[in-house]
Parts: sequence; C-alpha cells; structure tokens
Amino acid sequence: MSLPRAGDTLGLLSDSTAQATLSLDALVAAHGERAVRIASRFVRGDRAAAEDIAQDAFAKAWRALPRFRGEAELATWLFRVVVNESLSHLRRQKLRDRVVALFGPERPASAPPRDPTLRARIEAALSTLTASERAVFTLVHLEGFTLEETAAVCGRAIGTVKSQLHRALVKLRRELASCWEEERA
Amino acid sequence: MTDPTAPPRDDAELAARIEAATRPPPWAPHDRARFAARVREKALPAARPRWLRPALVGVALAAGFAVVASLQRETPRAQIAAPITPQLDSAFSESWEEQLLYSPEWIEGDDGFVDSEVLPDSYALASELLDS
Repeated sequence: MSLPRAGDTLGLLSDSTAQATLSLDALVAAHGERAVRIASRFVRGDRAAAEDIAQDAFAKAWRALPRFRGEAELATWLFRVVVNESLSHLRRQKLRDRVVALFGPERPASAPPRDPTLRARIEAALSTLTASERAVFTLVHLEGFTLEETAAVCGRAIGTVKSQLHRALVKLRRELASCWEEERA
Repeated sequence: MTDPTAPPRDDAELAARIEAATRPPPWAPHDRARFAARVREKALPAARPRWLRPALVGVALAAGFAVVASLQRETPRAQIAAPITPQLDSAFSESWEEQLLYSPEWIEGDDGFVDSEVLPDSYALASELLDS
C-alpha cells in the first residue's frame, strides 16, 4: 500500500477561498475515510469520536499547510497529525475516566461492539500497549502501512518501529492467550 | 478453513483477528459529504468584512473604559480615620495665642528672635492680646 505523493494535492493549492475549499475537499476526498479509520482504531470504534479526531486533524493540517516544508509526503504528514490527535484524545479520555471513576457514576461504553466479549478482551489487551506501541501496531497490522511508511508517520527510525512492533505483539499474544482457550472451552 | 476459536498460529494471524474484531464499518456516501462539510466548517472560518474585527475591538475597548469610569465614580471614597492622639488633643486644648507664641518654631528665625516678616499681623495681634 503506497501513500499518494505530496504534489498531487499541493498542486491544487491557491490563495482564493473557492479554490482553497476545492483543495481541502480534494484532500478530504483522498484521505478522509482512511483518516477516520485510523482514528477509530484508537477509540474503540467510536465513530463519532473518530470523525471528530479526523476533522480536527484535517483542520490543523490545513491551517499549518503554509508551513509544510515538503520534506515528507503530504499524506504521511497528514496521518502523523491524525495519529497524534488520536493519542491526545486517548490521554484526555484516560484522564476523564479517572476523574469519573473518582467522582461520578459509571459511564457505559461509547460504541456497542459486534462481539462484546472478544472485542472487549481485545480492547483491554490493546490498552496495555504504550502509545508508541499502539500507534505502530495499528499502522502496520491494522492499516497495512509498510515499516518505512510507519517510521515516517511516527517520526522514528525503522529499527525502533520494528522493536516496538515486536514488543506490542508479545504483549498482545500474552494478554490474549487465555481468550482463545476460553472461546474453545 | 481455520478454526476461529483456535489460538492464532503466528503474529500475522493474531493481527488479522484483531483487525477483524476492531474493523470499523465502511463509509456510506452521505458520511463522506457530511464529513467534508464538517471539515470545511472547522478549517475555513466564515469570511468576515475586513472592518469588523477592528470595529469589535474598538467597541470592546470603549465599553471597558466606560465600565472603569462608572466604577470609579460610584466607589465611595475611603473613610480615613482622623489621627486623634493624646498629643493632638493637648495641642488643640491650648488657646490659639499659646500655640502661636510657644510652639511653632517656624515663626522664629535662626537667631531666636521672632521673624516679624513671616507672620507680622498674627504676631502683632498676639503681642497686643498678651499685653492687654
């Protein structure tokens, strides 16, 4: 799976508002669905939250586009913003959950999973990963990014990505080992 | 066909199972349009006339000045307690002639004599009163 070249979208940029809207629409049409899909991997499939994250990421990226130096591909840069926004959302969510656990009533899960037991176990296992491990695992194994693309999106060396991926898989395998045994029983 | 309840054979199968369990539903066409409209709202703020911002700043500043001015007018002056001390009490208990003659050094010049040019009328009046 390869990412589109930066020039494909940058060529559409101009100063006038109408053309800017057109360019933004082109950017959203090219990468919107994938951006939402990536974000939803971080938020337990909560569609509304994922769309909100992706919209904020597009808005931020669009406003920062004049400062884009073209050192990376535009899509790589955009997905980096999406991943960072998703991780920020996770951090805020954890903080909120702690506060709610301390002071408020228990909140139901935001999106009903298709297979509640398996989905909940998988989400619990994913939540044991660090932010970097989760980002790397999501991009490589759930979204089909290559190691090079993942390294570019996460801003890390390929060696680091490989070791984080390995650690993530070891943790997931350990966390989910009992899950398959229970399913079998 | 692999048994979905059997443990995954390798990392790829583990990842594939996680992907299948967490895969979000695909987008419908109206999702795309709605999403794009929302991104436009967030990314492109509505165009405003060029004069609107300075005008709003000016109005806000004027309102701020008006509020500060009205507060200053309405605030009652702080009541400062008069420094009533025993010394002051005793000073005021003296007659004005005694005060004039005995206490203030500023009436006398450096040589100890009364400087008649400072308060000539008052000094003359006090002298007359004492002589009478």
